[in-house]
Amino acid sequence: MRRRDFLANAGACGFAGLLGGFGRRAAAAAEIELPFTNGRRQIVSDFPQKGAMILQRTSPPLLETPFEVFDQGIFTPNERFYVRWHLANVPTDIDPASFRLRVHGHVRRPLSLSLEELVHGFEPFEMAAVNQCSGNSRGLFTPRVAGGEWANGAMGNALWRGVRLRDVLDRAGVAPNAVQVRFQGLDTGVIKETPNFMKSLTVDHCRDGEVMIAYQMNGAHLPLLNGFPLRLVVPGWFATYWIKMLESIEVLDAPDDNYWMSKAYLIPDTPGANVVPGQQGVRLVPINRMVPRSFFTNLKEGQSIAHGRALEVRGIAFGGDTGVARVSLSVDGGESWQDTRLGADRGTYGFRSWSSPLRFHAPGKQRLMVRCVNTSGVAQPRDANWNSGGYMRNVIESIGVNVT
Amino acid sequence: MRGAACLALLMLAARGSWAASSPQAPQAASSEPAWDRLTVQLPASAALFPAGDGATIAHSYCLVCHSAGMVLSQPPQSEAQWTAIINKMRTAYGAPLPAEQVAPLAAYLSGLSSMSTPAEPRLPARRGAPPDGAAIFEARCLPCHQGNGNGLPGVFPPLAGSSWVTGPGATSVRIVLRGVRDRLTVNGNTYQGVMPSFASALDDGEIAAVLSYVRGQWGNHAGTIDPALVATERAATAARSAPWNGDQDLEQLR
Repeated sequence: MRRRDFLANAGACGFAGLLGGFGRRAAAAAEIELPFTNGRRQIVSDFPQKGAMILQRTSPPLLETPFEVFDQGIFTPNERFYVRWHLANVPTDIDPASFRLRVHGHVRRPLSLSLEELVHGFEPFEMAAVNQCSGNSRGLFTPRVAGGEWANGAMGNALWRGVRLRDVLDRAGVAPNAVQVRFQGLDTGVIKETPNFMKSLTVDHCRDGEVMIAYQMNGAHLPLLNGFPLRLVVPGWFATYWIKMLESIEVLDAPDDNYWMSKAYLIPDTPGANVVPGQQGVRLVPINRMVPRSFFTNLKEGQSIAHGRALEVRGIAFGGDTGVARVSLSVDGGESWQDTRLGADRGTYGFRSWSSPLRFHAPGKQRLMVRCVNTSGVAQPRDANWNSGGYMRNVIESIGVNVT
Repeated sequence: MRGAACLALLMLAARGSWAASSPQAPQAASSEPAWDRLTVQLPASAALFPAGDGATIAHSYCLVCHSAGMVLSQPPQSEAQWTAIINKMRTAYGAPLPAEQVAPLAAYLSGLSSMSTPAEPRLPARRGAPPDGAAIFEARCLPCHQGNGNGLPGVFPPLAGSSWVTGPGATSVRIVLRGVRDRLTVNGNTYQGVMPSFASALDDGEIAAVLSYVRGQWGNHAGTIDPALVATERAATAARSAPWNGDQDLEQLR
């Protein structure tokens, strides 16, 4: 039975036939079971410029980085970097010769910059920074919430190379009455009523000397699915602001009330964006700064470890909107914490590796916990947050191991 | 099993740290790499919703914007929760789903007990075998133009009985190659959807195959399309980076 026949035959034909057909293909496909209900996913390698990725959605693409990639280093390879698009029409053919970045709105001199002009007309700038989806780890929320059902792999760290947004805005000359800057990429919906994907930041934020327009990622052009040819990089802020295929920079004289700022990507204005399920009357604000997180990368839940043997437990951490101050490990359910050894600091906003030697002296079940404290003194919380968008999870991670 | 008695955290200086042994951090290029044109093909999903009352609604309206996997990977949701999600799709994103179909769709989705789709059937971007026009239609065209070729009122025009489809082959080829946006009139009705370009998603043989299929379905009796015609039209319209502007552009192609 074929897809085109479905409408005509759905009532008459049993679904068993369909399942049988798909099941045969399933046997050959690599799968992963993410740690939540309905968490079985395919591992696919058929997306352009991408290696093996966890398939969350084929169209528009949502691809999660398999977590073992994070054990291979603090920079996430481009071909394994997660992917998240909102709108159905993702351009698949980009001609750099005709591409232009427009800077317009409340500016003295509107610009239309070719890629050559952007690359050679401004001082190059580089920064390592974590790009993390607002809804990373949404699948782990309890109670569950609808949305992209990610485990922890909707994040990555890259060395971004490009130009400072400040320099580009100064070239255009921001008008004195400007308050926000709105960013838009080349992707569109397929229905006229679908709002274009646009995000805005304050002028002051845009001119902080860190927000940048990246034309390289880890020493190469960006993969198309990560935003070729240009992507906004907003260090320390969630990825919803990191507009891919950046095409338009529009300076506004009033706060942006477009759908994606005023209705979507909103969080409760409470500590940790945390509310009780069903709680009413909470003020909502656009999601913004990231919060610290840390993860184990070389141990898995339920793993068996021989007692008496020295091992190294290790992982990654990031400070959110600032650097990592320390990463601590607990082996007693969070009663006591020992600082781990931090790897090289390759940038305030990037991943930082951590490691600690560890030896268990007797068999039994053990629970390991890891906690990051950032340089502002913000620590990961012991209890998981909850909100209806599934945003900003950063609870202390724990792993149960079986010492044999 | 708490307490440090059964284990020890060895806070010794680690020999050969992980950071030092991890792959080298990327090195920035000393000279900027050349800006070559980038053309990619995205795989298409051919996943279906499980049979049941409401599956037809899901196939007609959900797949316009996203593949079925998005729905089938959700956690269990109540009928009320699905109603809220479906209404958000209608009001926030403009899903052309009639109001009276919200309730049966919500009932159907909340009744799916096991939704997981471990192996999503997909149309490979490239296949060694000769292109299968029907399979390409299913993965690339059906979500908007529908399995019966009738499209969706006001948004996506019909392919069945459409003169844009059954007219000169070059016109239909140009539409598939470059896409269409803005108002388009078909058989006296107007449509406002957006059709993307398939110039990079499909090669000449695939466009010829899917158009030959569409031109012979649902009572259409137009001739097949030769891949050579697609190659000719691809070259002739190569400079066009934006879709055709509906009636304004396409009337001149008739």
